[in-house]
Amino acid sequence: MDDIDRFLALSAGRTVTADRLAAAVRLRGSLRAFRDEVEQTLPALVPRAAGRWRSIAADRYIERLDELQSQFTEVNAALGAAEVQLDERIRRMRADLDALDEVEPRWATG
Amino acid sequence: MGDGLTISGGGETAVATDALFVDAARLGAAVGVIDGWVSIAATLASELDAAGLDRGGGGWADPAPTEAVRRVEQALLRCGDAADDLRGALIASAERYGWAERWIDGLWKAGGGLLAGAVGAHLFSPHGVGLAVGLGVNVAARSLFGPTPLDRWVASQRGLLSDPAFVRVVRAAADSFDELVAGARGVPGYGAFGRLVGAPESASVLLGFTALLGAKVLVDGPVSVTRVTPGDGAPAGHPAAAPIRTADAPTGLADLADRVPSGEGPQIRIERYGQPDDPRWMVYISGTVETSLVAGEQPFDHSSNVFGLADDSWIDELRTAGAESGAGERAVRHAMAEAGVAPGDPVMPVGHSGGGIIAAKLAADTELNVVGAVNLGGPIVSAPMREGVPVLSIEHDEDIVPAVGGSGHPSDERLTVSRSVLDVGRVYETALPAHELVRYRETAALVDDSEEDRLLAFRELVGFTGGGTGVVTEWKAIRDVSSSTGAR
Repeated sequence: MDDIDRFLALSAGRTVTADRLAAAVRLRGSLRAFRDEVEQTLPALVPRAAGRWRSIAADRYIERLDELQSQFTEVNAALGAAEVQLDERIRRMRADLDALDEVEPRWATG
Repeated sequence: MGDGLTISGGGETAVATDALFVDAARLGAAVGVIDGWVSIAATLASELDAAGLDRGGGGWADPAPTEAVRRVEQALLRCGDAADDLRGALIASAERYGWAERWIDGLWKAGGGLLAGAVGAHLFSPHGVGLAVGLGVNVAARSLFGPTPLDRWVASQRGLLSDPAFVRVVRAAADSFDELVAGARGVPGYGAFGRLVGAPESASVLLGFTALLGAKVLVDGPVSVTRVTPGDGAPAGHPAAAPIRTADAPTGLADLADRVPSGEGPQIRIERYGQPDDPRWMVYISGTVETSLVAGEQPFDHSSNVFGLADDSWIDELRTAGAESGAGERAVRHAMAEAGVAPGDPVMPVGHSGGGIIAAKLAADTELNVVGAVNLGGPIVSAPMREGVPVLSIEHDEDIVPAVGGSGHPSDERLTVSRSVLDVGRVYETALPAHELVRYRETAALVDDSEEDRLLAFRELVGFTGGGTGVVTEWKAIRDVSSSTGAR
């Protein structure tokens, strides 16, 4: 990060600080715990289509249960995507912070 | 035949299999869980936003975790809506099923009344007289030559007795005796009149007539009970020969059904649990042992059953002729008193067939502290219920016995579990295979396996004994048929 980038980041409120990184890491933990809970609970959350009835209504019910399971798959995928996004944000923040740490001594020495 | 249980009553108008109710309950619980997740996702998104984690370089490839978590929230909202819709659809289908059942029952009842009235109107016509003469000749021929061709034909149609359609006919016919009489007497408009009078009212009037006429049928008398001495007939050393018999507390419906006496021997079994100053009682009541309508020594007979059925109607309180209640019910009350059951002690009666009628009567008694009752195949659909005292009634689709109580009336307290128990096309040895206690025991075991909320709640109710070991007593009841008592 050169000095101009640092100035732009400051003016846009995008300054990477150790506190912001710590907050991101903490939220990453919360997101991970949330994803674990959802993944572990979802499989048993709704009934499985057992084919106990034989009728058009029963077939439709099984279809709708399958649709619900598909929507659960979407939730899992969305959670995975959110985790990837947050991981990437944290990786970039760490890189920015490392770069800042390298720049700071140069500024300090003038 | 199948393992599917159909549940109706219990304060709900929906009728469906226990599996459907279980699925609906699970979907309802899922909606609650998903709602909680939506809140978590919303909080996470807010915190991510507050931390400014979407404010990177601003490029299109910049990571945006806040937006991503908001997409999770949206996906969860769609899931919650879908689960709630599906739950609503299940409940709606159960409601429609319940409505259709009631509508069909109403048609059967109305049709039965009209048909009975029409048959009654032709009772004294040449056709009716011819039929009566033919049946009389058949009876005479049977006494002289043994079973007649008509008898053999009727015997060959035994499967009809277990046909669910025939069960509906019996249910409609049970409510239509009065229409038959009204039709025979030429009373106009018997269809509308008949809808006000059901099987209990008919039974009560019948008892009044037989008592006034001095007929030998349907006349009841006093009963006495004797405690069966433990160990009677058991070989030395056998557990049954112990001076005091004990039993582990029942844990479910299967345990209850297994302990109901069957056949000859003691008709009543009583178990005492709890502490001496806080006793809790289980009362198990046998079904009908003697099928005669003429009262004999066996009080668990059809005379007692008809009295039990008639008791269900307010009209019966006006009847001054004949006994006040069935011998079986009086025998059970005697046995309970002898065993030490006090008015405030918690009690749960369980009965098969006629014993189910008695269990329902005890449940409705405000002078007893009945916590719940179980009926296995008894006609209790017309029995008065006591608010706050749940009655679980198991009735097989092919069993005509519960149907002889007629259409009855709905009750918030009575939860009915039905099941088809016979194989289509199979010939059974007995006349009423669907009524046998052994099959009700099988269904009771399936009730224990069910996760349906109301069945779970009733199973928990069985735990009122507090668990542990109880003392068992068995009681044999005998009706006094001496001429001095008036019973014949």
